[in-house]
Amino acid sequence: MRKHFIPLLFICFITSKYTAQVITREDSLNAGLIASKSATVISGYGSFKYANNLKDKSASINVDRVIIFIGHKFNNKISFFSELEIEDAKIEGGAVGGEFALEQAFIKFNINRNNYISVGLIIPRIGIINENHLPTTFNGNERTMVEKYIIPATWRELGLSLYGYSNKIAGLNYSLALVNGLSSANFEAGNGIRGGRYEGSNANASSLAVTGSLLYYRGNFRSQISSYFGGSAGISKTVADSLMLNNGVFGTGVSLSEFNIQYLGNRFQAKTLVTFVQIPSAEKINTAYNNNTPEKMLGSYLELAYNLVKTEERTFRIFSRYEFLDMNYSMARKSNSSMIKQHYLISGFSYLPVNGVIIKLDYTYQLNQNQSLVNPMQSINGHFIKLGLGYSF
Amino acid sequence: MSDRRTFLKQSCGLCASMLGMGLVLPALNSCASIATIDANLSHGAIEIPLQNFAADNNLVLVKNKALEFDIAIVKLGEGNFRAFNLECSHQSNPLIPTKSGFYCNAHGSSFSFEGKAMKAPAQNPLQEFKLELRGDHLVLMV
Repeated sequence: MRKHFIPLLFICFITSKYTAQVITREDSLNAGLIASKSATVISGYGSFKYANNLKDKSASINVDRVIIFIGHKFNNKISFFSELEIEDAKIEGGAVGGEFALEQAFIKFNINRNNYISVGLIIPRIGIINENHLPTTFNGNERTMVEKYIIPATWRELGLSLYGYSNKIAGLNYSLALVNGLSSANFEAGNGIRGGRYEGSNANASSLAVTGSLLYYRGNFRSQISSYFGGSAGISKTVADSLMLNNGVFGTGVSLSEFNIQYLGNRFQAKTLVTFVQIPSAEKINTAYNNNTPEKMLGSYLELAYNLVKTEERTFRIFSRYEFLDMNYSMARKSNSSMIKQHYLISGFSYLPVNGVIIKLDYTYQLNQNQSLVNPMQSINGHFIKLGLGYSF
Repeated sequence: MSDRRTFLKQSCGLCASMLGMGLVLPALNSCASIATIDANLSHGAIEIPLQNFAADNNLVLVKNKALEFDIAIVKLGEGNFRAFNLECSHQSNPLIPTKSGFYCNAHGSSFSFEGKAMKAPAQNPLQEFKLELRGDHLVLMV
């Protein structure tokens, strides 16, 4: 007992020290600090998952992610927001997996009541999951595949973004962002542009990207259209010439367009998303880096959900989602990659015993149609049962 | 050269579709603007004439430079008004007022006209202000 006393005392000291300094959201509200001057806000989210591969008869269990949010309001015009993420519980030198990364870190400047600018590591408004990626906000243990591989959520880059909404057209929101571009050297066959993100780490600012969105709420509907257009070869002219790539701000361009619509009724809910990526210089990228970059990628999904129980605190929801991805919808010449179409059918339930905690159980049927010229009949099927626990506060 | 032409053509197509949506939406919703009042704050109170709730209008936004967030005055029934601070109870982001409730774009929370958190991650209700009905106007205490 005695040998535990000193460490315990130390922990108490540290805890008391920090509780004296950091004011929680609830304390801030109670003390009236939010409305007056400044405050520090802490919150976070995370998820745990057990996955059983019924085909392989293997199972895994993992801490998918734990995120700590820290924000600080300097005054009524300027605030700081940050999210620090640990994936897979630990990161070990040389080991595969795990990530310790900043998911967001930006300063927000209020221009007026309807408009503000965020500067720093920002998450542009593209798709649904990119902005709304907390586990309590989506059904299923996995984020949607379309928004993992075609729209590489959580897609954050360095730059600045204007956000606003209209008073004249109730429910109309807009955003326009300027961020660093991608790195086509890191595009990968089967993973699309995901590997080309810099995510705030020593990003090449020679190429840039512009992205914008229109988001509109009407009744229980939420619809959004967004697009992204940016360069992916932020390299010197000499290097670009030697690789036969177009450099410059928007050189070796990538464009992404996306449309989604959600119906969020008290009982019935539905959402659908369609996205399309074009890389017209894919052939040049393949010649330069031999990474089988596709010319076009296509993805879409449809999800239907029904709240069997919906009270102020508890929600029990059943859902089913079908996803389709074609990572190689159109391939450039000089590509060795086959045409791969992926289909996912995910069905299950989400139970929120309290707003902020979610228990998820789902069954996933996965079909990868590999239309390889070598073996057109080749296909990979998978059946998974996944059980997860998530939280956000 | 053809790459560039294709790229420009496709990108222009995207921009045109964005513009198209921008043009179509106002047409769809030309009558759906929200009544807004640039109010004077006097001794911690704001007066709102009831005529702002004419016809079927059940939502009025109150703006004042001294306030960090807009305040929504909601008419829930005859003589039943409530006032909410349009600050998300999750991470203090501004809420988007619509004819069907209040939405936070930061993480997807939504709130009803009664100020209740309807969709996570927000858990707490919106901060409510005291509102008094005095003759032909409401008095909002902030």
